[in-house]
Amino acid sequence: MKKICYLIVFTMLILSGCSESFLDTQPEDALAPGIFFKTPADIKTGLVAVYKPLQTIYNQGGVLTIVENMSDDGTQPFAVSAFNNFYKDNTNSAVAMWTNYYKMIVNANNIIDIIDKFVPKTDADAALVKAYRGEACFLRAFAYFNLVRLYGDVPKVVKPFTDPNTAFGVGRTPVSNLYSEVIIPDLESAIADCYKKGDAAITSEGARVTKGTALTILAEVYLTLHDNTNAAATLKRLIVDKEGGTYTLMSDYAKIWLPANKFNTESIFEVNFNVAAGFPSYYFRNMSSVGPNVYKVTTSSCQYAGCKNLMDEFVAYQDWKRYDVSLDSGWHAMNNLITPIPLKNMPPLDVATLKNYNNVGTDYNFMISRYADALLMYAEALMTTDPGTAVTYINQVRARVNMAPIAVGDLNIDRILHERRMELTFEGHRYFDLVRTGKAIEYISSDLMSNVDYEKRIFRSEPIPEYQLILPIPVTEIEKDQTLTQNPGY
Amino acid sequence: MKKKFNYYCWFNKPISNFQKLLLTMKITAVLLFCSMLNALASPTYSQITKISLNLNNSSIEDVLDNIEAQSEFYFLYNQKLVDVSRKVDIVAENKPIKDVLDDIFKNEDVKYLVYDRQIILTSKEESGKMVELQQKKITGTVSNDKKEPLPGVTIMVKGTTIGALSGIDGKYTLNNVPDGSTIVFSFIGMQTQEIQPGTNNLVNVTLIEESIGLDEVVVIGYGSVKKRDISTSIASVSTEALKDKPVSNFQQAMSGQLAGVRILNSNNAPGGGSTIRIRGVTSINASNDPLIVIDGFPLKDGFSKTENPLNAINTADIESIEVLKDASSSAIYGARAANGVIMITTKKGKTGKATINLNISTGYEKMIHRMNTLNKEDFLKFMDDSRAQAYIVEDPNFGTNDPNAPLWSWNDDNATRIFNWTNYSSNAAPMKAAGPGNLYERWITVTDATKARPYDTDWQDVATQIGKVQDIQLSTTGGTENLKYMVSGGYYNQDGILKAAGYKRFSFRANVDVKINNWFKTGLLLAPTFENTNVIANLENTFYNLASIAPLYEPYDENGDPAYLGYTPGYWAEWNLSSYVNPLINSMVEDKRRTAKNLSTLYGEINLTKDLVFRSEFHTEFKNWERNYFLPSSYPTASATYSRSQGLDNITSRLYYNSQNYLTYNHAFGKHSVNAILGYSAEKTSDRSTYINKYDYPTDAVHTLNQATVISNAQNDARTNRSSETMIGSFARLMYNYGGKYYMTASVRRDGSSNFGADTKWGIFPSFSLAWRVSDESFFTPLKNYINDLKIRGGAGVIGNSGIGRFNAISSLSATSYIFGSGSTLAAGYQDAKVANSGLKWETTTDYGIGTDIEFLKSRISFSMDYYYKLTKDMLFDMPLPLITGFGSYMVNIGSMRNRGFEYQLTTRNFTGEFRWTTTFNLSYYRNKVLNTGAHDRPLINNNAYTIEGKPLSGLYGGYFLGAYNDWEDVKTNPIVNPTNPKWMYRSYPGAIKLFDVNGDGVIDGLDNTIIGNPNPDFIWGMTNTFEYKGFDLSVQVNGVQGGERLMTQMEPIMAKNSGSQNTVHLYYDNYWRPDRTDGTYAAPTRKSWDGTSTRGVLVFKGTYVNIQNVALGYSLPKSITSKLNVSQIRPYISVQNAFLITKYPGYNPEVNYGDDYNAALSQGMDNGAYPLTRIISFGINLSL
Repeated sequence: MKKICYLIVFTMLILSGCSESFLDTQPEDALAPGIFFKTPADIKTGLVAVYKPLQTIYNQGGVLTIVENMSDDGTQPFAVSAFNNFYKDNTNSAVAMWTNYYKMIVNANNIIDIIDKFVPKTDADAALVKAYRGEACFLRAFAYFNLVRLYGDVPKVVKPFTDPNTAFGVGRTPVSNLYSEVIIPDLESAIADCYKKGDAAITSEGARVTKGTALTILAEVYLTLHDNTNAAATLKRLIVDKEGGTYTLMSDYAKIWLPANKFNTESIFEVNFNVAAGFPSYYFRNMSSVGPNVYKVTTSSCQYAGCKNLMDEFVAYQDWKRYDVSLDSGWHAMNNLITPIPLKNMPPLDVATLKNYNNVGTDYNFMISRYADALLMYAEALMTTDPGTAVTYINQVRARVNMAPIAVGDLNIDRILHERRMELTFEGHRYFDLVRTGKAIEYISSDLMSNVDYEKRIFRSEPIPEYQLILPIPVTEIEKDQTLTQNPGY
Repeated sequence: MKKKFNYYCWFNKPISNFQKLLLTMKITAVLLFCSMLNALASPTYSQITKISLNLNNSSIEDVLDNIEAQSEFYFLYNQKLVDVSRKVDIVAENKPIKDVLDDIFKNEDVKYLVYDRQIILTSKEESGKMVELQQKKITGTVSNDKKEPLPGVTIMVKGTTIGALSGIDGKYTLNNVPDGSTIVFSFIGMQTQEIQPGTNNLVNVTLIEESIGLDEVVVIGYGSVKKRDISTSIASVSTEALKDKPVSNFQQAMSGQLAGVRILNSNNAPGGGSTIRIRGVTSINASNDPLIVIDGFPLKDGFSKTENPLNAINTADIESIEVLKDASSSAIYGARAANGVIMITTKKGKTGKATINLNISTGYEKMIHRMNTLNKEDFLKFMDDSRAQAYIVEDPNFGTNDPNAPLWSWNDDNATRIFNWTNYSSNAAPMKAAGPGNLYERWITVTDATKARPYDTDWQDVATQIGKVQDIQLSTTGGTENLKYMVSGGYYNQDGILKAAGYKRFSFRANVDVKINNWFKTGLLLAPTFENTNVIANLENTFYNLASIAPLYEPYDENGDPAYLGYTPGYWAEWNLSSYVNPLINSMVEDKRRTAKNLSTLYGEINLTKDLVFRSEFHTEFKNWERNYFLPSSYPTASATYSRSQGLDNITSRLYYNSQNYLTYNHAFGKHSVNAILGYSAEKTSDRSTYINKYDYPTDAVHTLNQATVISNAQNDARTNRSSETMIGSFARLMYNYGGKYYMTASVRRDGSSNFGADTKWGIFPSFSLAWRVSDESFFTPLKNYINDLKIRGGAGVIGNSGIGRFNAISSLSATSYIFGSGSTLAAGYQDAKVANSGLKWETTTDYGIGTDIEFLKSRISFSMDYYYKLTKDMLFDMPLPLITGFGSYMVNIGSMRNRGFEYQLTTRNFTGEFRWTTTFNLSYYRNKVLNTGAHDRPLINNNAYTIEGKPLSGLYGGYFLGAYNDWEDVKTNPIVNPTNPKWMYRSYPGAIKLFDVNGDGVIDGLDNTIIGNPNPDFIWGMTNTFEYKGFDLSVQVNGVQGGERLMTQMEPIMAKNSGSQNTVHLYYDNYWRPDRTDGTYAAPTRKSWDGTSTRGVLVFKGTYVNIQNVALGYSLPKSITSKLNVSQIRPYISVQNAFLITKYPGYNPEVNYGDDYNAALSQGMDNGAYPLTRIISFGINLSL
């Protein structure tokens, strides 16, 4: 009997002895961050995570739903949209954008931090991680660039949070500081570190950020800051000095967006979609609520349709080649709306194929910037200092779509905005173009206040107030952290 | 407890030869009778009670004293006939008394007889003698309240030594009784009766049982105690209370029977789950489910809304259920006990002849408490009202004070409406337009085509059916001294009231106990279960649709197939009515769940010394759960006639093992009684899952995934996952009582869990309780006639909660991917999966309680009362984080909350004779208050529920509803919506929702949202009445909830924002504003789009109800018949589940709660969909062989 007693005591001692390690359970189906990121290949996986949110941001219901609705190009067909008619209140803050952009920023901060601590063993390794760092910097800058344009001052986060409690009380950093402390330095780093278009290292990876991408966005940053000199200088490096490699316009305007022509000679930066890989684009649904009636396709998700005003501008300028691609079907009798599925989103299709696209999505990439955009920005940057050169870049873009060249004397900001509107319809530029050129209130108010006969409604009786040009800070975020102030007016 | 008993004591003088003879005779009679009784015996005290002894070289007298000390047994013996000084060695652990006595008296000339609590010892020789004695003065029969004769009753003439024992037939004879004397009838376990016979020579007496309750044994963690000796708050349900209920889970069966235990029937679908809340919700974010311990095995399963993992426990196998409600009782399960512990004990084998029990029942199930929807006639009127309201707001003079303007009238006919609209409204142009524009007329009129619809469909009728419930239970128990068994098999099948819903279960159990030798015992408990559940895909929506689809729609098309009710351009319904998925096609979507589960327990028990027992238990649970989902391409949605075909297979398996080892020390000396345990436990759960999701089947005919052609997202749609969790605990408890009068219990447990941070894995959970049996004090004697037992008890303890997800303390990476090239080659990505909190620790609840148990009037009335105060601290909370961290929240310990409440339980034995009527009643309530929500004290908003400091958890949130604006006067003198909008149609107007301007800024907007309801009930109660009369038994079980608000979020489109395109309920239809009913309490329906006003205030209803939950009537055939058939019992019965539901709640089920599991704490009271309650009438038969 005593033996048994000892046995039990012994057993219990054994069991208590192993207790600490018994409790040390680790996840079996996930990696721990501390032990990963040891090689450039590991680091690349962290970079991939920075790119990833782009597929959400540039898909159906993403950032374009907001900026195209707010611009005078798009309108909400079935509902009265607060974004569209600028009756936004503090519930219209597009939290998903805030979430996704900060996800990019946080992932970029993490991987930049890892790269900075990484000691490469070979020169080849060093070259690889240098480019990864450049890309992460670009994506961080790009996320901030869009955030400040959407929300104004936003919290500045450029380092990983080691203690989540420090995420409270960060407050908002003024836009100008974000440009000078984060966006411009990050873009400069990206220009220095990224590969050029056509470099062997990225020939099969066209979706990656290049030196050219960074140059283009930096130029747009300077234009936004009304620093045309630096904008021109930056674009000169891209267009004239070809520091980012060689870019040329595609000969056929209609084919720029075709999935077969991904990462073409005109492409500067694209968000990549691929059905077979499990990342379909449903961006076309943004504009296809015409579906149930015409194609018998279920999409109750139309986010915006083209404004009459946009169609009128194409018609007035007889800009048919671009009209065909950007507006295609134009006014649709049944809904009294322009509800096209532009060729930019997908080709005109029979009902069966469209039905399938509606199910499975498409391979169509979203073009964040392309060479035509850069050329038109260059013209804009040179407009006052060197109008003679400036028109040549506009005319380069116009020549492709058989539009007559414009004369130096006709060059002004409205002319450039018109050209950008025609060339870059529904590519996410219009609203930001209007805001940075100071034309937003005039153009958008005029669109909202005009009685468009087919729409049967006037959206506003007075111009949009200036405070409405940026979104309210998400109330849910303010609730979490009271130091986050709301934008005035909301 | 320890008293000296032998005959000498009773008679206070040496027994005479004559008396000895008399006694011998009586004893013999008792013996004979009892040996007969034994054959019929149902579980009695002697069978339930287990004795543990470990005595060496002790006299039999000591052994018997010891048994008396630890049990209710009384020994009667004659020292001349039984040699009690003989020394014996005896070791017994949890043995029935019979085994112990067999051990003691083997090879001895002693025979014993156990009759309930009374044990009579005699010599074998004596027992053979029969002596008849004739001299008599007073005679009679003593029987119990079932009219069964009672042998062995002591009958004394008060104040004398004259006495007798009743014989086998209950008859007694008293000689030499002086005139005017009082005769005292006493029997252990029965109330003593005094009778003055007067001149009567014949005195027949019925003795009534003393409170049975106090002598029941109650299972507590790692042991059991007599109910009499409980010093904490424990509630029990016996197998009696669970029987005859055709329900698939024990929770429903025990509903309403326990004070302080609320069982919400939150999903009444076949196989669906109930939610158990013991003493309220204690945690914001961690689990609020009690720990379920079955035969010592603490289960891992929580609750799930669609399928109930506890269904695997077959109700028919349950012997008893104990609920440990307070920390003093539950802290021995430290880490997981914060929400109370439900101890389930299954039936075990018993020594003796094998008994076979068979129970078969078949029931029919019908939907009750339907939504009171409109028929065609009312609906057309309703449609027209909604159009009229949308029409008049387009009047250019609407809302102006121009007395000359011809206001359009609500009662204008269709032609006038169209004329006015076409000519004057701001939407005139589309009305004029050719083509689809003229559908605008449907905005303001009800078309003739609509009025001409021939259908008047009652969708709730059409789509539901009579369900069927079958329950077959077969079990057998038996055993020998060394091997006891209980084996059972059960089959339960339920076809729900919807075609697609069903549940089927096969369950088995084998409980085998083996006694190897006098110091070692072992046993194996096995319980495999197989379940098939057919879940209705989109369950909540189905019943919403049944209430909201217009009666004008046809259920079937011309081919007899379910009609397509989706959007069809040009169809009469376009712009008239909302589009739907026809509920009749629900069965097209397959959603099958299959669970195979086995619980097994192997235990060994060693008697180390006479007082010390070591028990080791090893429990395992293996579970395999599989879900097969198939959506055919031919399934029409609300907007298209097809779907993208999709198939989904999800398999999860779990292996959970748990080892528990503990020493029990039991010792009694003098009046002191000590019970102590010391133990150790370790457990590990490993989960694995496989998930495959594919699309695009070439055909709908075959549903397996080998047919599907497309995996959309390779990384997420074909994956496996693994994770595991470990826990270790060590525990100790000391229970002490002095003479059954003073009790003290103290326990402590130290637990470690892998869920927490490296340095914060361990938690210590102590508890302490005291009890005092006041009624045993001498000063209490004068009251003893009225209050025969009074105990006051109180305690405090700390208990823990670790019911959160795994690995919140450890950072990890989650996989993602992107594509860099033009092909489909994936680039793998890794990103932080969460914000880890390495300091994450236990949530602790400190619980203080005080209570009393009182028995009045010889236990005819028993009453218990409890008060508790529970304070939860360091609440595990998914704290919102600024999104600038990349995440929306992380798990922290934060804040505090308290619950305090009262519980009352009352049992009255109203009639105890041939007609027996017992009533048990319980009532409980608690008040919840959130004391602190953390450093950034801000409201926690979840599904329209609002939690803020100083208020109860999960307040319902929205605009405070005042009714409808009566008229323009009302509108223009009160705060309204959008007061600056130039157009009155966008502001509030007569008939629109009127809300209270909470912040007083003169404008109604989102800032006026406030707490508009408290989902916690005022109190809950339950009452069970049982009646018995001549073989008939009837039980009526009622439960009720008083107060507590529900927010009918799901019904908003039909009850608060109805545009006249959906059906509605009469409550709304009969009470909304119309120009001829301006005092209507609800806003008028309108086809105009809603202005965004909060309508939640409209949707708040009290969840009060009274449910006659179960009525069961049975009849046990008399023995004269059963004995001929050679069976021991035949009892046909009829049982009605949910016999009557009385409630004003307009939804399907007043108990429904939104959401599953953990988040539900922050969003209580949301009715976001329910499977209706059903009445099940079943017919069954119990058969025992």
